[in-house]
Amino acid sequence: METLDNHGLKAVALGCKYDREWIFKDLTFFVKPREALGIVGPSGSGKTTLAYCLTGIIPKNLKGEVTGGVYVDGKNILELDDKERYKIVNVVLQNYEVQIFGLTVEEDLLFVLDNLELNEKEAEKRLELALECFGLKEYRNYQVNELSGGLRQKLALASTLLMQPKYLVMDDPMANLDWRGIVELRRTLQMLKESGHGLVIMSRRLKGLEPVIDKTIVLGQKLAQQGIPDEAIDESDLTFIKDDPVIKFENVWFKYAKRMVLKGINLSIGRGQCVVLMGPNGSGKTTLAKHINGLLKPSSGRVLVLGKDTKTHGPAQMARHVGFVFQDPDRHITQESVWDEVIFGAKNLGLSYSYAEMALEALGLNHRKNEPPYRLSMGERIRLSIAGILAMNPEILILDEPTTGQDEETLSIISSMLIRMKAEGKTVLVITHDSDFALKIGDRITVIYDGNVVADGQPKRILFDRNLLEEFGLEPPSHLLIQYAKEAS
Amino acid sequence: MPRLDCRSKLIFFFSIMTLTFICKDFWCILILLAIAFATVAIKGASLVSKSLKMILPMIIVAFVVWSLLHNWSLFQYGGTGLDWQLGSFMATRLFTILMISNGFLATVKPGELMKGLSLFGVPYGVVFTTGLAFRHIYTVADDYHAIKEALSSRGLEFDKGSLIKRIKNYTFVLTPLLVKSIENAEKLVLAMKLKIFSLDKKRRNGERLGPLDILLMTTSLVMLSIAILHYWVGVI
Repeated sequence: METLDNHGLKAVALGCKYDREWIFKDLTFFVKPREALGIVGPSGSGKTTLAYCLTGIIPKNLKGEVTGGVYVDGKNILELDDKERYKIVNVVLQNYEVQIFGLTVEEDLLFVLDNLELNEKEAEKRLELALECFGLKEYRNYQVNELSGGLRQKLALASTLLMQPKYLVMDDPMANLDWRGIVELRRTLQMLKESGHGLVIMSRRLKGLEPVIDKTIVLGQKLAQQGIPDEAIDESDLTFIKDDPVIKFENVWFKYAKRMVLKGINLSIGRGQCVVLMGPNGSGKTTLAKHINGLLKPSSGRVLVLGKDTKTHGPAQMARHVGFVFQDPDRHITQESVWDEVIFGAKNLGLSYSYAEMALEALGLNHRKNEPPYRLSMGERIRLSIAGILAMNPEILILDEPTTGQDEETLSIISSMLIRMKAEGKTVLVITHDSDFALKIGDRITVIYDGNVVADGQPKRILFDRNLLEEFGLEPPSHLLIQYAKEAS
Repeated sequence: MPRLDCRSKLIFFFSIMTLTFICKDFWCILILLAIAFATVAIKGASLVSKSLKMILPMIIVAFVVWSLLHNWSLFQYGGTGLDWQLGSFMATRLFTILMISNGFLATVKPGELMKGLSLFGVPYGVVFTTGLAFRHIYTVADDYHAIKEALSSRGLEFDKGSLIKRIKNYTFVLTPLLVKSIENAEKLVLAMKLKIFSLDKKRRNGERLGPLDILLMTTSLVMLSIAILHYWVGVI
């Protein structure tokens, strides 16, 4: 048992329910200043609700029935007014876009300083310190929309920290980060700990943050099985490019907003292969994938898909052959029932619904076919978006970051489905940062860096090459991280 | 221009735009057009050519319409219906308006506009809400593109078929866009609470104006005053 002194953020038998349904209950934990607590759980396990309860947002600002209590430095959090409470405990929300109010970096930071009603001298001091600590000095006058996702996330964190909360809760801060971003986040967390902050970090997994996390609790379902499947360390060789590739990039260049995003890509993908595209954020992975279904057209060079030049075929025409599962299912759910949503693509293309039935069955959604999609959990909505694509029976399937925020059940269903598709001779392209998932499902890994293919080969050769991982900022597999830790000790 | 204070930029553009509407002399409009060109040219020759490419077809149509149909309306017809001089004047005026608008968009960032309005005493609530709208236009635009891409990848045609069908297909974009926007708005309100936002905060003072700012503001206001006195009051 931990010693419960007055200094710390403490949850005692904490529970929360919406509409008579418990999100979590009987949670007891304690985090002290200079300490980091990791709370791990898949999407839908209640991480965000817990973050809201810890900061008093529920029940003070949002509806929800809370049992037990949250105490900060000995005081019940609900007895503090909003202003006092948020100066002691604050939260960095998962959607960092909505936490940025200024049009430029400096304006956003000044927004918080204005709210704090500090004198000009103190405000200026805090502003300079925040810009310095978070490496935002050179971006001071940049428009927010000119910043990369990683920099925007940093800005959201910096502006929250300007309030100098003693305890900081972070809701899924790694959701959109690549490996280099995670390493940088780890340094920031270390710095915050050293400067006396108590941290609560909520995430699907804590891979990469282990050195700064002092203790962990698990919400909802069991943790991801981290390790390498046996077949991934099989030494047998694979033939990547068959005589008749289904996807062929011939010296493809693509320019967007004055920037060359793809720089002379040459790539061939054979039938029945599962190729994993890896690389840091902004390297051109999604841009490359969008060329396959004709969403983007090359500035020069050409892309041949099943012998068709995608320059002369639009995405709606290519949909007969290429299925594209995008991130964030909420961005494309349009129908009123699960069944209507699944058949939406097949209906547009004038196809029969026989594959829709099979897709619903394979993805475990058959029993919910008459329900409205918005009643499904996040994991189920992701499965629904995949089912909608499978209902069109495409020969090529592209999945963009399918592991983000997933629960284990969904991940395992997706893995089995991909393996079955490969066996049926379908071609699969997966974009992911998750090296363990890549090892599990990939036949081949293609690394994209700054618009170029910089490495292409068997998963184990790519992901166990330390120099390559380091040079191109790829996430090391858990197996390798364990090895690093052993070597270090 | 990029180094000027936001207040002098706002006064400059306001004056030029107002002058374009007030002036009735062809030569005055030509001078204003030259100023508008210079403003756009500051941002580079490519912006000038891009602007011309976009504007010229409209100018040609305006010239033809004003020259040939200036006496026509739905209810009456008079005169010959042909006036090349009027056509040239109105087309040049439209050209100036469009060029100066492009110059404004290219040289005044949304943040500068908000800061300028705030320093001119526009209520904080109005400035903050407008700034927030500017900020989130990008988010909504990103969502719109992502939704459209996802739907066209499921075989939905946006550029083919009859007009009715196209309009109907666009309605599919609206549902997820609306859901996303409502979600974002809810989170935005929460984020404002987390940052203890209040509408009655002390505002910051602007920096001191430089000599170039004072010169630009004075010239703009003097030109505007002369034009008002000349064309409206009839004193000069």
